[in-house]
Amino acid sequence: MSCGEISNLMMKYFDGDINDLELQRLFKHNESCKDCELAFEALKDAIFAVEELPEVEIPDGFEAKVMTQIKTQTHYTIHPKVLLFWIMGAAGLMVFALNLIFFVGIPFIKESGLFTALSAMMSHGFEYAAEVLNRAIIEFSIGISYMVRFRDRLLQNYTVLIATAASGLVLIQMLISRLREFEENQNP
Amino acid sequence: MDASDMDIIKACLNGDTDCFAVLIERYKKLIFSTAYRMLGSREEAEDTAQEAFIRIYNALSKYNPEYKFSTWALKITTNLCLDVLRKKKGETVPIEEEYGLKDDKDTPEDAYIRKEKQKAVQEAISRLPDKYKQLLILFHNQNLSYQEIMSITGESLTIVKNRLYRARQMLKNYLTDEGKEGEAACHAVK
Repeated sequence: MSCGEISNLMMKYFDGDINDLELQRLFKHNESCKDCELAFEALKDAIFAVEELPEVEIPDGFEAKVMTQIKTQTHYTIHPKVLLFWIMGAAGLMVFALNLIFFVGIPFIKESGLFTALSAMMSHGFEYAAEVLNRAIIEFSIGISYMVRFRDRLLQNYTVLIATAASGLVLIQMLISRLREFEENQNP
Repeated sequence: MDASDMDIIKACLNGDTDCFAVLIERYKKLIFSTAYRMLGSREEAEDTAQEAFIRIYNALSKYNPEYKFSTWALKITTNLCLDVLRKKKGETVPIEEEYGLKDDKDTPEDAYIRKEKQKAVQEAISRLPDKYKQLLILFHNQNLSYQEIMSITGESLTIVKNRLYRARQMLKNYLTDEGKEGEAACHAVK
């Protein structure tokens, strides 16, 4: 049995799950192997020393201190370090985003000619829009002038009509009065 | 006083803060001694244990009754201890005088030898890497099972076993070196 396997057995021993057979093998090996025996004894001493460390006395008033702290603590406290972490993170992200826009986004758009294409499209768009607007204004004014002319025509005809009607009426009136005078003259 | 942990936790969650004192009473020894063994200083252990209980209280609503309360409480405590150890990395803290409880029946000389030995052990523990320290204390000082340690550390059985193996070897080396250095010092004086 090699010393490596014995080392495993030692660990099993200190884990507390070594069986009788393994224990016997461990002891048997250690009888003939000085190194392993020394290592085992030293380990046992060290681990027992840890296990045997005395219980510690709890400081006086421990509970009371904790309870007062619990009752007086402010809720929803943010640890300053956590806050700093988030602020730094956000700032870093913003710097990163700005750099991305300035040094990658804009050059990329320029390179690809997208920018000029876009501006050309925009100026063309403006021209088209201006033309449409212009046309609309012209059409509107023409429409207005037509309407005004139509109104004028209407009004003109109306006055002529009224005038003829009025003059006709006057003529009829005059005719009637002349006829009456003529009748009176014939039979006095 | 015989209410189960779960009953007390429910009462705490329903707003009866004073009930938590019962839980502190029940677990203060476990929490405090673990913190003390990991940190090696009473003052720090007290601060950390207090902080641990406050964190436990604030996290009560997240407690999963599948696990033992002690396991969960130890998880919070040892994580806190690891934080504390990480922060003061590099600082060497002098190991204090041991506070033993079983001194009464020893002769003064025996008591002195034992205290020195305990001091050496605590010093050797404090020299271990933090995560090894945690395992060694939980397994050999608090007598937890592998299963419990796995749920505290969140590591696999293989990792826990490997770390514990190395922790034991390192502890042994520190303690035997310490002994040799001590002897060497004695010879030098002579």
